[in-house]
Amino acid sequence: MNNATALKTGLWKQFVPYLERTSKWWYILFGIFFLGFIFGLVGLYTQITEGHIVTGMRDNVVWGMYIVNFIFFMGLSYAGALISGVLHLFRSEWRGPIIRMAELTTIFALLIGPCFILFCIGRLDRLHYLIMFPRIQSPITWDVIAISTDIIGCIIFLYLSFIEDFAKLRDRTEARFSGWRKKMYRILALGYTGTREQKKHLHWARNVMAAMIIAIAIIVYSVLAWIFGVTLQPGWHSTIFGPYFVIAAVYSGTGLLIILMALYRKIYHLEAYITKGHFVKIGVLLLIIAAFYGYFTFSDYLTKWYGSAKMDKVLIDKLFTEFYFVFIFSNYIGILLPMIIMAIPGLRTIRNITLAAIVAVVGLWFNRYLIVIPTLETPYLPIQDIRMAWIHYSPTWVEWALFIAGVSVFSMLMMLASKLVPIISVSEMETVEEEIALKEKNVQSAKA
Amino acid sequence: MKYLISNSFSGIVTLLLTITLFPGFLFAQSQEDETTEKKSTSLSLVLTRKAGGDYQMKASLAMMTETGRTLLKGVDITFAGGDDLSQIIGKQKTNLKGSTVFTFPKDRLSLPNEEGFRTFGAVYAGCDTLEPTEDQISVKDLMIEVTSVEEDSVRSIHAAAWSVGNNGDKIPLTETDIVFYVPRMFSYLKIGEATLDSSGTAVVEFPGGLPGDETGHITVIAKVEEHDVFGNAEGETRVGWAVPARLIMKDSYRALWSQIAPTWMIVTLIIMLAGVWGHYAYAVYKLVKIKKTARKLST
Amino acid sequence: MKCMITLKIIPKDNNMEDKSNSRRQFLKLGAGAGAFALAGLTAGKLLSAGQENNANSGKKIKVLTTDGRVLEVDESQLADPSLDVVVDKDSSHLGIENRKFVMVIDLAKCKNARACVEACVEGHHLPSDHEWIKVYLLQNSEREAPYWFPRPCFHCDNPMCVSVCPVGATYKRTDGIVLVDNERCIGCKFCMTGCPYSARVFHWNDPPELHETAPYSPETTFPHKEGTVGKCVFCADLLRKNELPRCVTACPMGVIYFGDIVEDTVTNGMETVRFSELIRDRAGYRHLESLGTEPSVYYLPAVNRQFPYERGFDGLDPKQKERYENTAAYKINPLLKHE
Repeated sequence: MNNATALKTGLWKQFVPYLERTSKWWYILFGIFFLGFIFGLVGLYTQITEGHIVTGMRDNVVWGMYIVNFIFFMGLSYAGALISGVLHLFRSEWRGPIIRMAELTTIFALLIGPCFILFCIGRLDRLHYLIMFPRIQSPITWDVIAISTDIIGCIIFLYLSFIEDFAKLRDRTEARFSGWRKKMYRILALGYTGTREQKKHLHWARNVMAAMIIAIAIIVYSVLAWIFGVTLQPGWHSTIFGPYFVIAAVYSGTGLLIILMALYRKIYHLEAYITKGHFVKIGVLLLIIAAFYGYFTFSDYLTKWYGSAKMDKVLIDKLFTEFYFVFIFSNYIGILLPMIIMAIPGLRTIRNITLAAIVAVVGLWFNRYLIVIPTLETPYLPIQDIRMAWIHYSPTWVEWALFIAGVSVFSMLMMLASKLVPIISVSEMETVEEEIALKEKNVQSAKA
Repeated sequence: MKYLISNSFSGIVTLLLTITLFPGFLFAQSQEDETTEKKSTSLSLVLTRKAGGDYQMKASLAMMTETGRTLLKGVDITFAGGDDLSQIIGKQKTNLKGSTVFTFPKDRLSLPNEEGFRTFGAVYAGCDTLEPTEDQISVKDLMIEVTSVEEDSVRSIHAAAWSVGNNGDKIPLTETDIVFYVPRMFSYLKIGEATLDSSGTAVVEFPGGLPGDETGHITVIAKVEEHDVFGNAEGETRVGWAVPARLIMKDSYRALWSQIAPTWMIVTLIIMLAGVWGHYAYAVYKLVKIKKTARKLST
Repeated sequence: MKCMITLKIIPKDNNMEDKSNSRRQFLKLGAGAGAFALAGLTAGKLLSAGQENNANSGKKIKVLTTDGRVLEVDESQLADPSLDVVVDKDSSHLGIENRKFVMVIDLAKCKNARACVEACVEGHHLPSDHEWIKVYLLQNSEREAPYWFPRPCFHCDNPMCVSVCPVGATYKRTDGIVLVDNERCIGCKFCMTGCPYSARVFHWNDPPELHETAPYSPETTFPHKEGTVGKCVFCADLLRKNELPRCVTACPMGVIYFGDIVEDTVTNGMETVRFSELIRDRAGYRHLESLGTEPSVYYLPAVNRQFPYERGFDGLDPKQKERYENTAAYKINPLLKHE
């Protein structure tokens, strides 16, 4: 317990200055991301005023980079949810410093992801028709229901994990918070004082929500995969797509978590809390997921290539010619490199693990690109009798602008969040310590 | 970026071309169009004597241009009878394809001349840019009687064609081809062809498996076509030998394209949503409990 | 009698008044197309001649004849063709009673004359780059013969596009026709990825505004709407008047047969035959039957063909020809010039 208290106070000391004051560099970085956001707004304005003609999408490739980004961001979010849910339910001892980041990733990516599908929709003014005239048979309706359910679930889960910290922030009278902040912390803390009864209620609510989050994450990402899987298009019409997408999502989410750990560790000097041990543990998790992900990728392409149904063959030929380097990068390097780094203990440095994570995340984005674009460029009826310029898809500046804006908004939100609450869940650290102490006590009593 | 530049470049080029070239183009065109001479027009007519004795005329109006015929829409065509087309029966506008079908009712037909010919015509009055035009057709009445005969389970359609002589006697039409049709949505479907024999009759077998209406009835038309004297003439009868045809929708209970989703899908969705949202409600209930205990403590 | 067609000089400075009209004329001329036009008088509006009761509104509209002449007529004398065929939205959801439409395309007769495409574009007032019927040059395998393959919407009996629509904007009627309600469509394009035949097109930008006054009907899908999907409607508006679809009547070769499967009859406007006999005798088939979409469009294989397929390139616009240059059938043929 003493150890835990020491850690706790240390952590508070570490964070309070960051919560109280903001450095110059924070503003500069935030400004850069804000410019990215503005760039996206310009792109969006262009698209709204001039129509979707400003994008690279045409009658064959009707879904372009927007949908790639949509699946990508949704992937990041479910992964965060899965990790935080699993880590919480299984009471992993090392979850303390990273669970908050996972939760924040979840909620922010989940708010950004669906925006990309909105950019892709031709008539935003009729968006409410999705609720007014829903057809249960359409996977898009499933998606609307699933994503909104997921967003609400994630908000509840996140809030539950914040209550204890809000209560602590409220009680820290020595910190110089402004008036509105104090008020906000007081309201959000719900009068939580950590009585045994309150702890029990909170414990149950969090357990239930953690389980729900895992279930929903799997369902939602499967539904997303089925948008592609249920169609007859070569390359999409695959039964493996549901689980394949889920595992790919976890892969990208874990990768992002490692990147964020490295960033926050450096910026907030959290070397004492986020140790190499954490990196190795989550890196091993990345290794296991990479193995599964590689296995799914391999089975998907193996069956397509071995069977070589006409359109599958055309598609695979295209992937290995036109998209050769992208394919090699995303499906070979993007899977094998992280595995090699994690498999050889000598290579497991924090820098290498972070590098592996970056390769994994970028590779996965390209994997999504390879799922969406080449298939649409390979319809059953060959693309003919159409303007030559309409045959191949390449994203325009508008699509890039909105992608940059998406990344910028995510970064901005992460930066803002770390200003409002400690990026390491102090209460979580405490709980973990308590759990460890309890376990030790049990072991001792068992010995006696 | 490359794409963007090339795109906007071509857009600018198009715009410039539109602005700069178009007025010039129009001007050049209008120089040619100064001529005010009228365009010649032509009418083409198809006349058919229908089963009841009415005559039906299809008239198509075209304007002659350097490149060929151009059909004219929404133009008034006057339909008239009598040798000099003096007896006006009615007026109708041409449709989108430049033609119109007009019926001369049998009680308003012009009287036949001494040789038994009736004259039917169509007139286009012209306007300040189009020449007037007219055309006419003279035919004799040809009566066609169609009957159905079922003998030893052989179903046949009989047609007898005759004209009426000066003294009122029936003169059979012989050695002439006659075609048997059933009317369909867009056109006539041919079911047989025969030659009228010396007694002026012809027989064809009624084909099996032909869909009719819901009760299995179908109209059969016998038609003499493009005859030098009689033109086109039809006779008809109705038989009950067709296969009753009714559209049956094969509505699979697994169909996903229907308006309402399959039951299992709705049930699954409701169960899943109830399960998930039930747990959410539980979590929120726990939050309320926390708040309540807090209030209890403070009081 | 006063006539409304007047040929007169168009003043040079006042010819940009109607921007959309003039642009369309320009596009038409630029493409060198429009040789086939039912009326010959286009620019979106149809010309009706010889009306007497028209009060002169004074506003002159320029129209273009097929032979390249510009006519100027009084606006009030232009008949709007979409006005007299419009069926309201509720009725357009119901099929024509006791009918089930079917199309048969005789590949042996097609020589890429493109009359079907032009009549369709013209008749439905489609913006440029929108073609509801396309003519593909297909070759099933290397040693098989290439053939021209006109592809309208297949109006499938198990339509994937309808299944995936999240708002019920696209629907199938009892007479088999699949329509799109452009006032419901949210533009998610799921139907476009769902359709295995690439039969749907998207209004990527604002379509030129012609016939602003015409009431909208899914049977005409007109006026077109930005950000929504369009596709072949089997000319549902003409069917209500017992008239054949535009591509059928336009085809000079009689390639396309159309009819009602309930009365087992199809016609190409020249001959009328029993559907079942045609399919039986000519070994009719449906394209990509294995996908299970149950199309309403049948094909007759290109046997005993009337033209070698190379004839399909004759008289083709260079721009149009370019569109086929990436096909294997084009590349391997020594008869076709490869500049």
